[in-house]
Amino acid sequence: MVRKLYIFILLIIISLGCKKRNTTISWNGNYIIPISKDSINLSKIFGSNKLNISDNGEFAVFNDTLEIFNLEQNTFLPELDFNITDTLDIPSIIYGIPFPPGFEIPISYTENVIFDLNDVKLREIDFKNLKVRYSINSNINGILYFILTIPNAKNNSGLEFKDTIIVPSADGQMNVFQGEILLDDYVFDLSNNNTVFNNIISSIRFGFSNENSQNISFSSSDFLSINLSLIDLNIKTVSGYLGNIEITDSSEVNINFMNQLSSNNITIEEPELKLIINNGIGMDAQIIINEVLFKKNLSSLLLQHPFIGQTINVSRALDLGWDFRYGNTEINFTNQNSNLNEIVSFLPEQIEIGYKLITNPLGNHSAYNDFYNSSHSFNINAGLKIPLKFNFDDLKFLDSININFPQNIEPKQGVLEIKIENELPLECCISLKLLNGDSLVLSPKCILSANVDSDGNFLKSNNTELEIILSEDIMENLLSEKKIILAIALNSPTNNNNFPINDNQYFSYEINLNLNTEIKIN
Amino acid sequence: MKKLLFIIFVGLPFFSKASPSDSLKTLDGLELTSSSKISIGSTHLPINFFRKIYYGGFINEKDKGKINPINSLQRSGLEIDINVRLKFFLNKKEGWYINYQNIITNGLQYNQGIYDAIFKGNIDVNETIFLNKTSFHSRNHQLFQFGKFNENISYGITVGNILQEINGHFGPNDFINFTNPYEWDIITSPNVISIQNTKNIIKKNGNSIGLNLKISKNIAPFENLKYNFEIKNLGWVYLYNNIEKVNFDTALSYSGLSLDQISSLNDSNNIFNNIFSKQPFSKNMSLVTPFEFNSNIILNKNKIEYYSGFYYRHNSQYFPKIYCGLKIKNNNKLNFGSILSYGGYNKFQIGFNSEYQIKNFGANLILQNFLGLIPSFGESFGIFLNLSWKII
Repeated sequence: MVRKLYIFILLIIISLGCKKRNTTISWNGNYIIPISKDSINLSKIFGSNKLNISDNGEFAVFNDTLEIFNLEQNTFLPELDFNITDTLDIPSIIYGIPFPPGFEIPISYTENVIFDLNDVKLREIDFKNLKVRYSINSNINGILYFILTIPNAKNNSGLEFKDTIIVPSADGQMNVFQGEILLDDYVFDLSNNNTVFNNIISSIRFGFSNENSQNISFSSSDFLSINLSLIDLNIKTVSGYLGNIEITDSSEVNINFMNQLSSNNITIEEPELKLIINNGIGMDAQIIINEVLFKKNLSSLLLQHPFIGQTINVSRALDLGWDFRYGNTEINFTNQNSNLNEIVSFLPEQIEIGYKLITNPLGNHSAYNDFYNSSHSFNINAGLKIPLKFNFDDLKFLDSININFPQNIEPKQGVLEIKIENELPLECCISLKLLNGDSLVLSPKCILSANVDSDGNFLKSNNTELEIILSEDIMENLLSEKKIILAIALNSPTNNNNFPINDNQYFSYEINLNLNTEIKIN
Repeated sequence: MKKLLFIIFVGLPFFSKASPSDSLKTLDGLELTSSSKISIGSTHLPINFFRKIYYGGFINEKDKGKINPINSLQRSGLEIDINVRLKFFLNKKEGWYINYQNIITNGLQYNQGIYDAIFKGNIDVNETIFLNKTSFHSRNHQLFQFGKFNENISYGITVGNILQEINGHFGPNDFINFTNPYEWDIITSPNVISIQNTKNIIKKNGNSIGLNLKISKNIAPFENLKYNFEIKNLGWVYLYNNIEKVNFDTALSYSGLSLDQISSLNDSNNIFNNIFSKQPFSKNMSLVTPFEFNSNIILNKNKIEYYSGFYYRHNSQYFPKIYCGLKIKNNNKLNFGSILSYGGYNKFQIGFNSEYQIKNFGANLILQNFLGLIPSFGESFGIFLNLSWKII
């Protein structure tokens, strides 16, 4: 009886009490959540280091520099293919002599190679690191060791490169044994004490490893050769004569955010563009900018300026030891000497520069004293100076915004309330669409511009309160698609003025969400 | 939970209430008992709420309980108490006892407004929610008790392993204000300490020591009137290893994140990611044990036992409980009784008990709250189940 009762209770309780929770806990609630509140001025958008005030103090000026061209090392230096192959001839006189383990053959196999790098004559290369790749062909029956030396490669202690390689027994069959040796901070003197250029010397000795258990003798069928190559060259500096080459090429730079912008017309008060050519290489150069092409979608626009197609001499960099001086050249573009205003309105997504670069146009002018230091380069920067006094006619910004609700939240419906105080001379109209094309209801659709005087100067801010209704259908779509398409159209108050903006004008907003949501806990 | 139920019900077959004369001959008697209880309750939440918290499901408006003033103080808690006891009788009236107890309790004390803000939303929370009385705990203590007893008094020592101890409370001036739901004012200085169990069976992160005392006597000159009072595990908890603390003092008015804060939300240095994280606490800590106090007056008259009592557990968000009840003893195999109580993690409760006795078997079932049988209505549910039989 007791046992039956106990088993009965046990089964009931275990079946009820131990049932594992396999459904989530959830509930519905109505929440008002402050999402974001901030006041934005120009410093907050662009960073205060990129802003200064116009000479008359009326408006802010945006300054920025964009690198539009950088000369890669492999463009002006030839491929440094340092490859040495040496067949280690075994003298027939020693055939049949049994050599004990540990015995070193008293012959040095030295290879002295002068590499052909066209007209480039290198005196010295300082490597941050590089690898020596070796490949040994052997059919010797016995374990060998090789002592590899490169006398003109010295580390920062002044010691020449020397390493020992152990090669397993080939047991009479032709085998290839490969490996790599990593070298850090080695300087290669390619001039053999100022007597030649592009020269590398290697020296190899070999012997029989102590690991051999018996004497080894050579026969006429024994073969031994070694190939050495320098790979993964990470150059710190190069010196010598870097050659006279002519490179015609083009370079492209993408301005990514511009593909989200379009406009009927933008007028900016006196923008300036400065092309700054910096030569950080110790060699003279000439550059001809054949064209500067601005692209947007399938359209393009050429920069017009007298310097296009003209030869520009760029002087070499000077390394004084205590100071490094770039060779600089600057070209200024304004509304007066170019079609800059047209380009600004064009809002280009990509800049393509077609150029011709001639290195050492006067030949070996420096008497083998050209240099390249990897921490300095030859580049062209675009210096932008944009006064924030402008007129926007329907400047449109289009983007898709990711909407990620926290994992435990499953919103049913809500209202997004946006309060704005606008001190900027810009009207901002907003459109929000779901990926299925349905528009969200915004009321009103536009944020009022600040009030301005007849010269466009700020008088008084305007307040706008927006409401965006997030119905159940919209919430369902947002939860599944997790994206919304935002379109903003900015317009200046009138078309006949440029409107100044100063750093003390703010765009203040407050975004709150009134949400009916299901909260889930797994 | 599975492990717990396993302990409870695997322990039950050993439950016995043997008479001393049946026990081992080397002693005058030996008695082995096991008793287990489980109860869950709240001053404002229906049992359905807890059922859904445990089993999962959608908590509907009815499950969220009735509407209460924002600053009314509420309590919710869970108690599981498992005991296995051996009594060694030196003669018919006195002897020694050892007892193993595993006590698991979770308790919360909070203002209604906090609950409403979480489970209903902050839209209708139109008063400042004071946090000064908000506190909580979660503990799992393994206690070994031993001592001496005679007819009127029992006394001894409790030593304990602290398997888990989480204790938290807010500062005296802490509050949250959603009166303007677009600008939340928050002043909090919570202080939470926590230790968790170790894999080592013997060496734990904390231990406790306490005293036990129980006195039961007749009230002279009434032969049928008696009283008892008991204090269990009055002493100190000593925490010495792997203590973690959450302790910060913040006063902020939140009306939305700034653009910079939004862009650095996933930054590990973000204040929002670090403020609530537990920090290791290298010092030792001592606390008063969560001791229990129980006192009863019992009157037996005309085959009816009338009783009234008081029960309290320290540092457990427990409101002192008072109760009274009766048991009808009509010499049938099946007897009934009832109990009325107020306190603990509940308000008023009316309970029911039944006793079934045959020759060598006894069952005693106490249902703490009738209304708990209706999960959508009752605000607590407790069950005490005692089974006994004579070994020989």
